[in-house]
Amino acid sequence: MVRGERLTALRGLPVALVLLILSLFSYPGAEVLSLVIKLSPPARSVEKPSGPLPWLHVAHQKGHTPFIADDRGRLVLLHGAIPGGLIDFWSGTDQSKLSPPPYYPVDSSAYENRCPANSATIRVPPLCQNDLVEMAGLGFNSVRLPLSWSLLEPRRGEFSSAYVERVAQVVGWARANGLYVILDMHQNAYSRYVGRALDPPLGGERPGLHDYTGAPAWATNTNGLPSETFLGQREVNPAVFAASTNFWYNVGGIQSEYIRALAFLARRFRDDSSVAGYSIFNEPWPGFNLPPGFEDLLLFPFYRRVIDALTGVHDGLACPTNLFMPAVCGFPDLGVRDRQHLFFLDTGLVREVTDFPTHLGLPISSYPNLVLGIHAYTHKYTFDALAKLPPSTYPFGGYDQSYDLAEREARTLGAALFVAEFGAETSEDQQLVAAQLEEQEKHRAGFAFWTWKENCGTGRSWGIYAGVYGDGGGRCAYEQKVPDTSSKPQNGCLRGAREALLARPYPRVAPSDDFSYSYTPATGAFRLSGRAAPRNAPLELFIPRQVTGAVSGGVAVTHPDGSRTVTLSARGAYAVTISPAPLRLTSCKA
Amino acid sequence: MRELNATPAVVLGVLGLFSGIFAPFALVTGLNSLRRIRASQGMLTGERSAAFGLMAGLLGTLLLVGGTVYWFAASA
Repeated sequence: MVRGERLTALRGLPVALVLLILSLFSYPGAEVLSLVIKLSPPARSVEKPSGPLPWLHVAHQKGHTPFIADDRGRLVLLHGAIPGGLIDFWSGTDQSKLSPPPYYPVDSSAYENRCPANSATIRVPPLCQNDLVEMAGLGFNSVRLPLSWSLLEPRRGEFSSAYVERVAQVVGWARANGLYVILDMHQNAYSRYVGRALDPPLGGERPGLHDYTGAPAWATNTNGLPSETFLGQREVNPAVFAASTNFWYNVGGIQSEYIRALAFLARRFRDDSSVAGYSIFNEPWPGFNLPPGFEDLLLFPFYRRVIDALTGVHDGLACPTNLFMPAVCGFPDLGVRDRQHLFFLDTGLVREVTDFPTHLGLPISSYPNLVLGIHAYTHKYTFDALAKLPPSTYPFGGYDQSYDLAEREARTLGAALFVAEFGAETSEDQQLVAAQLEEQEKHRAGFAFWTWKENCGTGRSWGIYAGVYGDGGGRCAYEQKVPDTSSKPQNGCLRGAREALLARPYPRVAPSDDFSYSYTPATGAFRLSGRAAPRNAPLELFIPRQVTGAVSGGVAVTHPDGSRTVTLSARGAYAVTISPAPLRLTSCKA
Repeated sequence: MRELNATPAVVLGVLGLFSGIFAPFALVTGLNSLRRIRASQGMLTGERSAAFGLMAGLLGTLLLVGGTVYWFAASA
């Protein structure tokens, strides 16, 4: 190389250097790391003895969508509801009081053989032992249990053992009723500490704080932006945009602190097989960031960091944890070494509006037990509904669109698929809820129904049970002209239409993913057919007590509560049917 | 005098690294800018900017194509 050429090459050096540094912070870095993860062998599990419920894992088979499996490799379907009793909801009658203390006792002794009094000054009733019994009575085998960071770490660096013991109490009740628990780090619109502009300076609406949960006050940095809502959406709020963005950029180290809080929780449950796993962050809101960069460069790398910290796999690069961590950064092993639980990964909230992938599906972790959680609200929160257009306008592919694409997303991420949330107004049961359940059957996806019990709503409460003002709806005390603060029963009636739709027969475990099934609540008829490889472990079909038709195929055992389990040791093709018969719904005495 | 497309090439190049959709535009803009600068025999400046746009655009485009191929292959 002559001198002139060498000089020209050197002049190009700063350009290459800038490009390299920028690449580390953007897609090239994220994609190279994903490629390395894709090519790495999966992180190994640490075998631990099971409790009454076997450990779950995610099975990966070439050419198949990964699926949740039990210790014998059988596909597991989870059906359950989402109770809000452990969420740190705002409470009171005067919304100008911004920071009321947690309403329900955190100390688990307040729930031993009793249940604290309910009140319509808070959105949900307390979560008590009877709830888990009632869930099992609907045939559920799981519960997605939402938790609040504001209760887990009320002051920075001080984790609440009392709250974790309260969670453990609920896990114990669930275990006793044969239910798996998904520990869900819940939030909606970031935090109830985002504030509330009484005279909104930007011309928006005053937010209803009962809709806001999640981060503690010390982790809520709104940069002084006003808290007011636009378009009737709690997330479309400048204060929420700012606070969320500060979290994704780890301003003040708050994202790192969240990961430490999760590690504190996981330390308590790492040996408990009745905990299915952790749902890392509910309905992540991008703040000022746009998809797909939000998911690929901020959210999914954050998930990887949580997994790095809790499992001890080292997928990301070592970076300082008190600064902004670009996509390539991992997180130090926090010593929990939890290598048995599932990690449920919610997509960004915008996917809920689009029913369309808002990320590129880059593999995020070599830890194999990943579950993609979608929130299925087609025609409820999708574009068409938000713009008040007819349902035929969008999604173009109808209900199938979201699920077909979600399966593809799950395959690219190397994750199983789960419907982490769906629900609707009671008036929409026969359209929205029924259609969602049909899709879930088609895609062999388990579900968690939002919500279990709710005292009151802005319209009707969304619970499987009616709220405390009966089935006709009713505003919470904080929205009444003369607030009703009297002591209330925990709930109203079990809603018949919901019981008919949700208490359904389903294979709790199937020999493989090679099967199809469908249930028709209107007639009580059910059919399942599939093909099992030789030597596969048996199918277990659960039939809740509400479904009464005669079974053909398999051996049925009737349980004391009237529910049945059909076991079938399958070899080759198999089929089970339940003949049409009237449903035995629980009569309402509330 | 600075070549007109040199600065847009940098901007598109940076955007292309954060969202692949901009990368092909950075590639074309950077390439054209660099050609004009080279042909101007020293009259036009902005070579480094154009080169950055070209390189970032090339990288972003390759990853965009690779990512799309991966998506269809892995999700099939």
